[in-house]
Amino acid sequence: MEGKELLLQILNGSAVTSSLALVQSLNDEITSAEELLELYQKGEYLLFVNRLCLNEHLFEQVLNYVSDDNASVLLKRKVLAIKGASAIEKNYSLSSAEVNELAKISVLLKKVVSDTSDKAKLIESSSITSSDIERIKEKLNRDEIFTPADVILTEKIVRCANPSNGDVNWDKVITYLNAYNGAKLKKLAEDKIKGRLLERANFKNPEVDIFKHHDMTKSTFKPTCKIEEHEVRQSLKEIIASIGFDLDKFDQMTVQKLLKCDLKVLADNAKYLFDNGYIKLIGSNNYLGVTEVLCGTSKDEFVNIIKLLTDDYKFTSEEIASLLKRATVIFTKDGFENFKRNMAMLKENDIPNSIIVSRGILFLICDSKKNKAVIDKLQKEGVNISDFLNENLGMVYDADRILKNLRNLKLYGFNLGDDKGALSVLTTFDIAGVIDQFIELGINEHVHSGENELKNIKDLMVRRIFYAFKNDLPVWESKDSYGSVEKTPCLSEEEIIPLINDYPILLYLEEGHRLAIYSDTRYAQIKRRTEFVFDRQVISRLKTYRVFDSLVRAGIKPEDAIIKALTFNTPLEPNEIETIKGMLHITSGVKTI
Amino acid sequence: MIDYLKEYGISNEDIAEIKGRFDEKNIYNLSIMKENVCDVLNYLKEIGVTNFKNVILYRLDLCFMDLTYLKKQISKYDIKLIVYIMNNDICDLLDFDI
Repeated sequence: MEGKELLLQILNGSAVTSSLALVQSLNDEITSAEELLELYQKGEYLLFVNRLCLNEHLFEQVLNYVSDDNASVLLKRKVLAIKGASAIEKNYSLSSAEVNELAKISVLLKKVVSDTSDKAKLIESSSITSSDIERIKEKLNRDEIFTPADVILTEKIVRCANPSNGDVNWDKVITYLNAYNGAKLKKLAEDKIKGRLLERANFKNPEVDIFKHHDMTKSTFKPTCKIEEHEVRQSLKEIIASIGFDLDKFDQMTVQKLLKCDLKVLADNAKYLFDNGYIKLIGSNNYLGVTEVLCGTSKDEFVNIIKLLTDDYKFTSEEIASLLKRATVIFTKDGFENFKRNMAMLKENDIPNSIIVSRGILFLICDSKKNKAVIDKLQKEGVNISDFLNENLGMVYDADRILKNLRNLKLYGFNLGDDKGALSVLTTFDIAGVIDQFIELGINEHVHSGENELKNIKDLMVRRIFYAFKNDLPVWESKDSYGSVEKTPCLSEEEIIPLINDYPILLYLEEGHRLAIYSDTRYAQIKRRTEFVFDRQVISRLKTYRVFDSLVRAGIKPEDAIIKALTFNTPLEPNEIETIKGMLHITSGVKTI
Repeated sequence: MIDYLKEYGISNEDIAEIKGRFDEKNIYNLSIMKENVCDVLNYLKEIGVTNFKNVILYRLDLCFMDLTYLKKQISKYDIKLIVYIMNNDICDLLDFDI
């Protein structure tokens, strides 16, 4: 519907009722927040967390009150982690740190309630009256110019009429009002009352053409009133239309971003990008990508980026086209600086352009400081960086997983030698879980044989995938069941000692089931570090402590946790489980030490 | 900004999880390079992949991969095997150079 029809429909409709509807919707939000607060006060923490996560809008509102973005993301993660853990562990009990996080949420929720309530009161008190609507209707009937006050009132009416579509509707109406006022002002100018008009519009030089700001090259002047502001918007709309997009379909944040730009520079850049086919390469439907480039560079800067990519970095035109589509953010001033730092690291390690373009996009657009930190850590641990990047360039973004796997491999006694072609094991979902299964299947010795230990792991993993695929079995039974366990790190020897001190029941394992090998060969030491033996059944020692630690943290009794930890993901018959229990003296009650 | 992912069976809860896992820059990139992300996800959907949440959570790089290159890599194997891996444990794909 066009602006005029829309405005008339709103004026003839029931704006007052709609503003009441908005108040009602805000009151509903308040009720939801208050219900959540009640749950919190009753100590129903898990219910509180689940309901909060379900009410995404409210959750986002709460997080918006956290001024620091990182703190906001962290808080969100913690709440989601509680939700995830409670889904996995029945009767999950929260730690005091987690309760503290929820206390923060409850304080923020109270703020949401208070502010939303103020907002509802404000809307209630500023409801549109029927005389306001009559005033605007009369203006239109008499064909009179809309003053800034009229425009503000019209905006209020339009937004209140349909709050959820307020922005879109107001866009249409203001476009109509701009044209409406423009025609009237032009007529006035022709009627030789231009001087008076110019005086009112605060122009110093009466000879200046007041319609000149319709020219997009002059549209960067600072708006001084509502009408002028919307005329700037009109100019922007024309620029955006000239490259094949409709500004009315852009979200508000993007429009605001564009409005902050120098429209002359923007127009110049838009024309260049369009004329040279770059808009098409970024994506004819991708207004976010196009906006990123339009706002992030001037025409000259863009031309320079293309020149550097071609001359200095030796990318082919096809590769540049691919980068434009898949790494649009590097075609901005800041993005390109970051790109240059990332490229320096890649070139230092002889990574060819073909690999960079085909699978290294995430590396190119990620913060170079983060990339460098990961590379430095891997280098420090003796990983061949060139080999690693050639194989796993796309995965550097997941630094946490890589570094965790690296640490775990060392804990399990692996050498990171010259394992060219097998470094992808560092990106495995949970390498510790994989090795646990190899240990318990009795093939750990094979894994540690020879010089290329990572390659042995990779070969076995690939074989297992093929076997599982052919037999229609899951590859790694651990994947889903690991849940919160996956988030618990493997414990080093230094961390295992205090755990045993805290839970003396673990001494049974250490004293009775740990291999006593009187040999100083490397594999003998690895076995002692990584295995428990129950009769003929080998159980991964590091798995046991890792799972035990995660379970007791979740409030499981140590005597239950020890059994769950030992049998976790181990394919055992019921009688074998009973044997293990018997060997731990658990069938007849746990011995106290 | 990444609501378009719902077209691939990703729920509001999944989107919250994705936003919680990645920093804002990665989320922003998912919206800016939406066109390529959709190209890749549409292709994966076409060959039978259903676990899109895990594709994004554990192999975000695939979303930014060149589609022609991805198709070429996948064509080296039985496509059913690749779909099976993607729907099971997508991290295993790296062992197949994908």
